[in-house]
Amino acid sequence: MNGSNIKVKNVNKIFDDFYALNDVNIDIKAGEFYSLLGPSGCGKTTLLRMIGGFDEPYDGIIYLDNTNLLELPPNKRPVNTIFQSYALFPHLNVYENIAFPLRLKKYSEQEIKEKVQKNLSLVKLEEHIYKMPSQLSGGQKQRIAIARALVNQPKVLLLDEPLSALDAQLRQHMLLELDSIHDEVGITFIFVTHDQQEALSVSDRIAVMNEGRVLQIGSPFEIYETPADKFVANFIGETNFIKGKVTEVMDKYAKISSENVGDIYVYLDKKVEKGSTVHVTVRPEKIRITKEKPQNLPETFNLFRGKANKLIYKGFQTNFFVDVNEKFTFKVLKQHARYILDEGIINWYEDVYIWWNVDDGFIVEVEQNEG
Amino acid sequence: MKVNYGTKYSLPMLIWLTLLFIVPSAIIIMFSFMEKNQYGGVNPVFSLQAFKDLMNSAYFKILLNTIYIAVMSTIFTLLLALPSAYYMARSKYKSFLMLLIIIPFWTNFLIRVYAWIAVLGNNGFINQFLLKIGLIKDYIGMLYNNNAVILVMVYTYLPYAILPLYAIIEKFDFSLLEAARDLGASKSQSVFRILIPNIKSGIITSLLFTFIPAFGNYAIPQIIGDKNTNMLGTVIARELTTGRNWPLASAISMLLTLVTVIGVLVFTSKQKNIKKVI
Repeated sequence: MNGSNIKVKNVNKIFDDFYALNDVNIDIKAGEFYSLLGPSGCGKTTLLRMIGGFDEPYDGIIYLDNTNLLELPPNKRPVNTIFQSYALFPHLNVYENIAFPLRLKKYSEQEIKEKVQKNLSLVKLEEHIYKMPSQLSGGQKQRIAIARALVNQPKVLLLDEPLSALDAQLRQHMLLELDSIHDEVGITFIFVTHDQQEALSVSDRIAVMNEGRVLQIGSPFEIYETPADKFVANFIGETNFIKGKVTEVMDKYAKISSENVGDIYVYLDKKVEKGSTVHVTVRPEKIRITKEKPQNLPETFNLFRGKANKLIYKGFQTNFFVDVNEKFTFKVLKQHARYILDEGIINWYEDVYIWWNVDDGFIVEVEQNEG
Repeated sequence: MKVNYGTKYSLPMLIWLTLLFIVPSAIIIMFSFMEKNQYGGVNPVFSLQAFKDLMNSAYFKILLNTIYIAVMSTIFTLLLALPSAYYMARSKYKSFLMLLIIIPFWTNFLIRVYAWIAVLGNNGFINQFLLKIGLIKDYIGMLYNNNAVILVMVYTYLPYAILPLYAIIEKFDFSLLEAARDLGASKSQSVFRILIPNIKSGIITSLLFTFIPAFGNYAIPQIIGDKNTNMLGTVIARELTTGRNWPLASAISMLLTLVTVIGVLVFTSKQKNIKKVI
């Protein structure tokens, strides 16, 4: 394995009157593609800058393998960063930009040439070797920044929102490229982003952060399917939140009575007591929508009659906004595979049935001391 | 039909430059090749006497001394201006610091130069203070030498050097320094390999803004300097007035202009190379 593990232990960072980082503990395995995901101001960039050496924690330790990273200045850390602005040196051409760290290490001209060419071919930009940064497009600058950061053979690569300045199509492309570069060099990648789609599609594990705290650490699947709390559920993908009181607790399920929706059954993955107020989440793509009353329902399900009061056609899918009891609007996604041919199109203001398997809804948050 | 307005609109500028720059220069050149008039002015007769006079080793010494003072003043000014401009550009109090730089311009230049006599002179602050606390027994002669001239030059031209540097450093992307550190550069390496090359045009402007006025200076060496080892500017003034040798004064002026032009060409040709790289 070429990468190193990073251990962040009890790290705090205090700015004037608030915690930029609040008791952060993260354990990143060697060779992992690890994402720090959260809205702007959640502390993810501060944490990345600490690993890079551009910021210091108030207390706590950051280890790289078994060395205390905080004792090393940024130029002595086996860690390299890809900056949001790329930070290519404007007075140096592509070749000299990539050669910069090698010249500092006093490599011979022959070695420098070989390494620069090797890294340029990794990002597939061999033909731009003598261009100036100002002559490159955003995507090309990004790749030169990657080549330059990797030429030192770091143990860990830090990526600070590297794709945010690119347009949507290029972003998708660079994301796949980052993934394949990660596979090729095998070092640890720490990827900071506020874009949940980016994080979900390439990460081995994700740490979701908000207001300086780590809320959940897990694989993309775990984060999306079993969000730890309401914030995570809302931040990662879209979801429906239903607030209600627990009226019955069974061994696998619970019955919840909601003012707006009515009675629903949910999967019980945490302990709740009868009478407590809870928030339930159901992902929109887990909800089925039909014009006719559905046949072949599973054993346990929630079924509602509603009105499709708004719909957004997206080509490969349609987003429905279905009003139930005139009090609650469910977001429902329907993929188009077979749907239009088999069932006929659902139009605006049509009456529909929506239903979901009880296992697909669960409690994300229990409100404290209610009543 | 396409009308070329360029010539039309640049005409006032052309007249302005011709009247106020080219004509006086031409007159100086003409004077330098004429005979001197006993009572000041020139006799309209061709003569190379002024240039023969100029070959005198005394003038060569003064030229060297002028170059020495101008170069030293430029070096010290730049050494002070760079960190000051850097600090200003990164400070929260940019506009306040800018005000402090500009305030000296509100007072007449000559008065500010004379003020240095009140600081450095035998009855000045420094001598009086040192005498009072008993550190020295007699006055230290700090005025009327090259070092005093250099000091006052640095004081006078520092704002002119800071402003262009400040303008370019303020636009500099400081994440480049972090990137350099990240890639293995020490603090000083990141400054010399990344900051300095990227603000080079500002440095050259500062150099010119200091070197040119320092080299041709008259007032500061006249007031602060040594009467024996003067600068070219003071010699020109002397030859024009008490010396009554206008052709010689003109010839010295030409020498001064020549050295300045050569200096500027050297600096700006370097700047062109940098632009090619950028």
